[in-house]
Amino acid sequence: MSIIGKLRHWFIPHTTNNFRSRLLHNSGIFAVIVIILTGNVFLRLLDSTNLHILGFTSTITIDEVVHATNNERIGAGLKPLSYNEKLADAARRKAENMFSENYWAHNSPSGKSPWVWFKDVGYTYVFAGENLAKDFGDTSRMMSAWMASPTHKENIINPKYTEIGIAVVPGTLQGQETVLVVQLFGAPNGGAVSDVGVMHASPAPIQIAEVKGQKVEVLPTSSPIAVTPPRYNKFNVARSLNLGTTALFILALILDFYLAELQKLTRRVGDNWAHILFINLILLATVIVNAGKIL
Amino acid sequence: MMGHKGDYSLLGIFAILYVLAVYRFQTFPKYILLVTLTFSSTYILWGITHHIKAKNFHTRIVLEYLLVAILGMAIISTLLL
Repeated sequence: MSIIGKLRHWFIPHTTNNFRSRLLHNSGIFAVIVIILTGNVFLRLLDSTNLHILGFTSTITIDEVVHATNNERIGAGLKPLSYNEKLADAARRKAENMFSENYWAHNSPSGKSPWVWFKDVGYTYVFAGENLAKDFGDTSRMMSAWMASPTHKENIINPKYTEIGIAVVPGTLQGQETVLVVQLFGAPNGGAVSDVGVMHASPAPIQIAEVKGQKVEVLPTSSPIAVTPPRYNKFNVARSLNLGTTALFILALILDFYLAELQKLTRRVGDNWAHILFINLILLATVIVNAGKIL
Repeated sequence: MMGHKGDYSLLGIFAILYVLAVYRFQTFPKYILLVTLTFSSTYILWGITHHIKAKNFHTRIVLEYLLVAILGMAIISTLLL
């Protein structure tokens, strides 16, 4: 069978495939599933080697996070936050502590709450809050995830905050390469707000640890983070593999439906339109789904 | 297709609920998997009901819906697990 004949056999209803695209036969669908699963196993094997072709990359910058946060606030009719270096320093210390104590939480295993870092840098506040994120490839996805979460959104569009500090720090957390984003909010003491309180993270009693003299690597104020630039983002590669394979399946469904209608074929098969809708919704979900996590 | 407006409307409602749930739980992989599993199971049941009503039901069709649902789960789970 020629290449054209094979393509016709796999994608177009014809006598050779009992008037149903071969790819849409149950064995064909099974083959698509096998291709996706084996492709992903191959990607994981590739990721586990020392070739460094796949890995984690991120383009998040501090400027972008501040800009996106202020855009959300302006959209909500609030004043934008001003960038505060002390808060940024506190955020960097928090991120470094998360890497050194190897935890993904607001409070460290040794009992340090987020407010320890505010005190450490000498930032006194009447209101303060913290948003955390990791494993995000870009700022817009991270912001979208925060805005989809009511508690994180509450921090971002809280009228009581006037200042913001951001840290974007690459490293290895719990055995995984990642980029941690620490977003701290504050209303400094002496501002217009008189009530004392904290937002979002638990205002549990603070056990202040002695961290004077702790070496904290200060990152440039705004630098694109790419852990190893030449590598591909493994999540995006896996998503592309799934999208590409499924696109062929959808193409077969559309061609099969159109040509069967054109030839007025009567067949006892599944509903192509329903399959197209279902698979497209799954693909839409893969676009929405984030590899990143927020806290 | 026009003869099954009710069926397609129901599928449309499931679709909207699914997209809303995925958006809401976009950073919670376990929830996304659970929501996708629920949607996939619902899709199989929808397919069976739809073909029984259309009087063209066949066990081969059930297998087809099952495989399409598994394909959906494979696409999502390979990204999240």
